[in-house]
Amino acid sequence: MRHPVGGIGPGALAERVAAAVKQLADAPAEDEPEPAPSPPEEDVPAIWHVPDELVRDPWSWYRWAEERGFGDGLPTLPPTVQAVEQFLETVGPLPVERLAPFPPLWRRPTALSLAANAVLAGLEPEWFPLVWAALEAVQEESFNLYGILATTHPCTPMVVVNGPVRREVGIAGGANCMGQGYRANAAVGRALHLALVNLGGARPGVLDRATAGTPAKFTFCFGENEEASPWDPYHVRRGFDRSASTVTVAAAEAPHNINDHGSTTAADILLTVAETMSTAGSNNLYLDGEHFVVLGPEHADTVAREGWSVEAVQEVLYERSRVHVNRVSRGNRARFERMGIEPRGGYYYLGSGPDRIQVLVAGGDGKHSMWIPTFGQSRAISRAVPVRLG
Amino acid sequence: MELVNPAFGHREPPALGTAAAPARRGAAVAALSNNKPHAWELLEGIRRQVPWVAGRPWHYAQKDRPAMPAPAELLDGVAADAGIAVVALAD
Repeated sequence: MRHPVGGIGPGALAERVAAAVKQLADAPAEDEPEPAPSPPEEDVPAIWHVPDELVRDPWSWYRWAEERGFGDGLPTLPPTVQAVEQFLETVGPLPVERLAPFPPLWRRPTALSLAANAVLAGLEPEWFPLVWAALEAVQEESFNLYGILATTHPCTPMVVVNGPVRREVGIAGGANCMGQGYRANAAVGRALHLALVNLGGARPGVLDRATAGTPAKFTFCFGENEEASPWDPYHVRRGFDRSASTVTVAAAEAPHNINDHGSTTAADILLTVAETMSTAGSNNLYLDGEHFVVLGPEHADTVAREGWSVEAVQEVLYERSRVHVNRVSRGNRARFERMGIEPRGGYYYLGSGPDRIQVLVAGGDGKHSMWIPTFGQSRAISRAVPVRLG
Repeated sequence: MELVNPAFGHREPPALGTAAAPARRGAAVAALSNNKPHAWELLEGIRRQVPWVAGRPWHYAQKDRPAMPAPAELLDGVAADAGIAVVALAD
């Protein structure tokens, strides 16, 4: 199914409208009768009964689960009733009544089905409070979970972890923290994604309409490197107590590297960061959600040594990352105009103000930072990680 | 052996029939998209031609409106239950 209105121009759009209008005109003229209730989903059992060998043989399990679309393409752990019940014994009762149904199929999770996704992902029960906090966060209306799961844009709920819980569960925020090799990072992000996809039903190419998607959809979770940051931790700047543990979710693309081995001043490093952000094809150019600049500790140190605050960094990045109108296609400029987005002084800006640029510090040694563009039609949401569920 | 189905949950689709304003002639149109400009362009185009149509673009970016993007395969069915004439956009 091709995109219904993108790239077709006003004339073709008018034809689409005319066709839709005809359908409406042909619709019944009188009041519709009371709609019948939706039939129950008889084909979605709570429990599968399978031969023992299927679970005992990892290859058999892997193939069976993937054929049913329970996984993400990589091997999973089988959510046997025994494994799931053991998981829930450790976690404790889940207040699932606090969760709304997951879009786009609007299935309301149960304690068993949530725990089953955690088991699939290889999540230790002690790590589940992070997943729970993330699940509550993505259900905030302004997060726009439906859009994120169904869009053609390559985004996924990214999870940023702050506070003592990072050390307690082993969430990495240092070297290679956005890459492979850290179980807690991998499993927390994966458990969140599997729960959303399995319960929400956003299967690739069906209800997840991503054009190409992103490898971040497998998992995207990391901690802020608070110990290496010259500024207050991110969650403190968002109003939480320093001793609190939090997750922040955002509709993120995969991170984009910012290489600067030559600069020795704040202004020079921030110029490189801003010029990397300054692209004509980003959602953030015309949509107003937050996007993230994750400074490597060495870049952050160079910037902060000259006395720059986070707010000053945001200001200068906002001004310098603007995109000149000549770098934007005529078709996109016309579209922006129809949306009421006008250039200011000949430039388009990334979002409505500097506060849309969220500044974090993460990673290990090295002269690299990251820019994480986002879906745009979504707000970043932070939640405290509960000490106890229920 | 018994396995817990990780996709199990009772379906509770939102009541689109109550969310979309009722229109004369018993038809409403919901321009459904996760993309504000697409939904807006289509809905406004329809309104210009059919003033009796009541509808709303469903997206986050417009204040006070819930997010409701929509692959057509899903919403055709949901909307039929709700008695809504739907223009669904997959975005």
